[in-house]
Amino acid sequence: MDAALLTTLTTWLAMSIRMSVPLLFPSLGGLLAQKAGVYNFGLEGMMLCGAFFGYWVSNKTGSPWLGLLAAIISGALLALLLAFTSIRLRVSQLVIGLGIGIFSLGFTGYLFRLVPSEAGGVAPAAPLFPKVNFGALRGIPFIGDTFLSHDWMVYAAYGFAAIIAWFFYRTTAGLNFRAVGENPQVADTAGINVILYRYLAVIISGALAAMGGAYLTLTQTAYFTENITAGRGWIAISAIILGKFNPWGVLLACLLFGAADSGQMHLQFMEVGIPYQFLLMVPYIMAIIAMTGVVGKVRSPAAMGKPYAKH
Amino acid sequence: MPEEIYLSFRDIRKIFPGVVALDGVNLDVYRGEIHALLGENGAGKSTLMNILYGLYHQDGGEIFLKGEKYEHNTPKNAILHGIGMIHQHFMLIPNFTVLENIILGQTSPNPPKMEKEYFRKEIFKVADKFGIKIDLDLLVEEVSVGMQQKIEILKALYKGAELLILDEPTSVLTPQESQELFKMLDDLNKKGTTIIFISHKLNEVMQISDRISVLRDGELIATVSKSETDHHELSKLMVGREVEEEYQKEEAKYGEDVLILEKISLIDHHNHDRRLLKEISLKVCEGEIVGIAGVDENGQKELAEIISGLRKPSSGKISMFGRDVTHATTHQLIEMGMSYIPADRRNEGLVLEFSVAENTILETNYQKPFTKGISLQKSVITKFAQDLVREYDVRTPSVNVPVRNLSGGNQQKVIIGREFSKKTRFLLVVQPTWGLDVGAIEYVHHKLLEAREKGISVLLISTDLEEVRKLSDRILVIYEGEIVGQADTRTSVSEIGLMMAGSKKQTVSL
Repeated sequence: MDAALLTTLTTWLAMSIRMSVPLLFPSLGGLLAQKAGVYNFGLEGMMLCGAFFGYWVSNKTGSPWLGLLAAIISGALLALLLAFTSIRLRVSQLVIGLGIGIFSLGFTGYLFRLVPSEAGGVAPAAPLFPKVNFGALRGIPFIGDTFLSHDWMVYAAYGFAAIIAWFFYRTTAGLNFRAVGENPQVADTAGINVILYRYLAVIISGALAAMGGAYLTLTQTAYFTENITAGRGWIAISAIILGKFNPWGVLLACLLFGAADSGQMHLQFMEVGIPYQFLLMVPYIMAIIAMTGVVGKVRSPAAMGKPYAKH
Repeated sequence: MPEEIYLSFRDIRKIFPGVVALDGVNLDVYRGEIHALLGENGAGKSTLMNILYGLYHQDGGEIFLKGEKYEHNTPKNAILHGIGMIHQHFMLIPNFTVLENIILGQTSPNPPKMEKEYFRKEIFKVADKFGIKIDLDLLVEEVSVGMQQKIEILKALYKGAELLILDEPTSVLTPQESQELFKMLDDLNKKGTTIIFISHKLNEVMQISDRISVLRDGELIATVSKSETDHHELSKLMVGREVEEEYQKEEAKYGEDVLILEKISLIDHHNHDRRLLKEISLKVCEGEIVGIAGVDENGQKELAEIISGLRKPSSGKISMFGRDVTHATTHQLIEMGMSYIPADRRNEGLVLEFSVAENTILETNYQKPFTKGISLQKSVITKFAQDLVREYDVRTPSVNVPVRNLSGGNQQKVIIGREFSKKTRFLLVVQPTWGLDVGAIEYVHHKLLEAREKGISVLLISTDLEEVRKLSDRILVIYEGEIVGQADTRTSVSEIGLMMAGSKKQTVSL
């Protein structure tokens, strides 16, 4: 293989992995909520808050770790709002989710304007997480550049997918968890605390979505911009369907979307003569195709979106 | 032998919004007996048991279990105290395996791991003890309804149930499956399990129970020993008055053929090309009630949808009044004189949020005098609805309340009134008395017989074999989308039952 092609392939793959991560976090979060029977349509909003508070606190304190903590708290709080309104008050999950999205867009945009600019009119940068140091292994050709060139959040995202798969299919708690999303009444009669499982699912879902947002500002850009997530919270929802509600499937779906995203960026560099606006559409068009059922019959959790009322 | 009281209810009260569901119920259940709770729909049988099991909470009264006060009734606590309940709608998750369904909510010996193999051995021990044979690795959705019920029972036994509550367990079973269930219950009972059996069917209650408690309108009317009572007394206790055992039917006066189905088949292209209906041929003539008996989900719904024009058959021909209507729309069929009383009155028969008056003109609203130009004639409609409500004895505060607020029986009366007030010549009726009390059932049945006397042709599709036998002139049996047998009112229940189970096929000619 000639060297230039190998380099392109390596950078494309490495970039695909990086671009899949901001989808994988919210997708796994959404998957958790949906498997427990609650639609989290607020993923996008939770990501945005995660991105902003991650950036802002990291910038103020100089520690990306504190930034990440702030991001997680912001996502979890928004998720708590979603959980309380949809589980306890049984308000439409769609309405609250959309509300969270619109609120977060305005709220983070506003707060960002309050951040004083530095000389030259640019916003201050946030300290970033460093790449993981694999030592000598990093030198392995192809493997090193493709798989060992990332920061810890990349590996964490993929690790979460494995942990969630293990939890769903190998633990009693996971079985109970899935039962809550399939038929809460069955779960209830089996002595499972439906409400508790659903609260936990939604709150962890929010925390994961916010980590996806924080990944953007704390490992990639160092800056916040308005609507930095650009609909990734929505693509995550189609990744869940494309992945057939299975953690490994979701991981592959995110990787596919990531590859599409990184592919369109490469095409932009190569100046193939297609207006870049069209290339930017690629992941979104793929999301639409995913939603139209190219993967065949997808079986969603039977009680998804339905509040559970006890007499 | 002195009886030991296992469970007692003392003065249990439960109020649902607007209804007193249980009004001071006192009941004792002895250890080791089979105790039937008999009553009509809405009498409070299930409510009482759901309180014991902890799905509801009583508004007043106390429960004593083995002489001790039983408080904090939750499902979890019920299981701990050896109470198992088999609900009318099975508490099983279709895309989980049998094993997963049984271990749901159980504590693993080695958390957080699931340890399926450990549970498998434990479940086999229980299954062996009670002589139950089930493949634990099948998905629940792959097994028959009768088997699902066994899974439910095994699940309860595995969780250590000494008291088994069964809520209308035979409503989804064929007569043969019911007998199998009774045998199993008898076995369990001999091995020491106390059983509470909820039913509204007298035959079953008389067959299986030791003692019978009758509930009516939330009150416990009486508790009697089986040996000291009979059908007649029980039905009187249950309904509060004498019940007609059989209807007086007029001699049939058959006229011309009205509906003819020729080799109707339906293939589900979305599900591996499954054949939902297989070459169904039948005909119904004027002044005749043809009943289609069968266990639920054997193609009845699809057949009704095809006859009413809601769905097109994959092949075959339908004629009505001598015209080919295979491709006719529902609207055209209605115009030709078809009336349809669907199985699901709440979702298909009515628009629940609409008022009673609006529901009475759902199909005819575009006609004069209900519409002039493009505007609905409110006063005409109100008058029409008021007349209908009076004629069909619909109990409603006014015709302007949402039909949702009416009881099931009154909702059905609205539908019947609507369909009968048209110029009906062919009537398609599906599950017309599902969930109704005895009074309303009698009313509906009389209306159907009245239609027959007027020369209307009636196709009655019902899973209630008694109903089909009481009303029909001819009976066809459907099994897995196929007409597998023909019978008349003289054919015995057990013979029809065998056909319903698909084990006795005969060739059926038109």
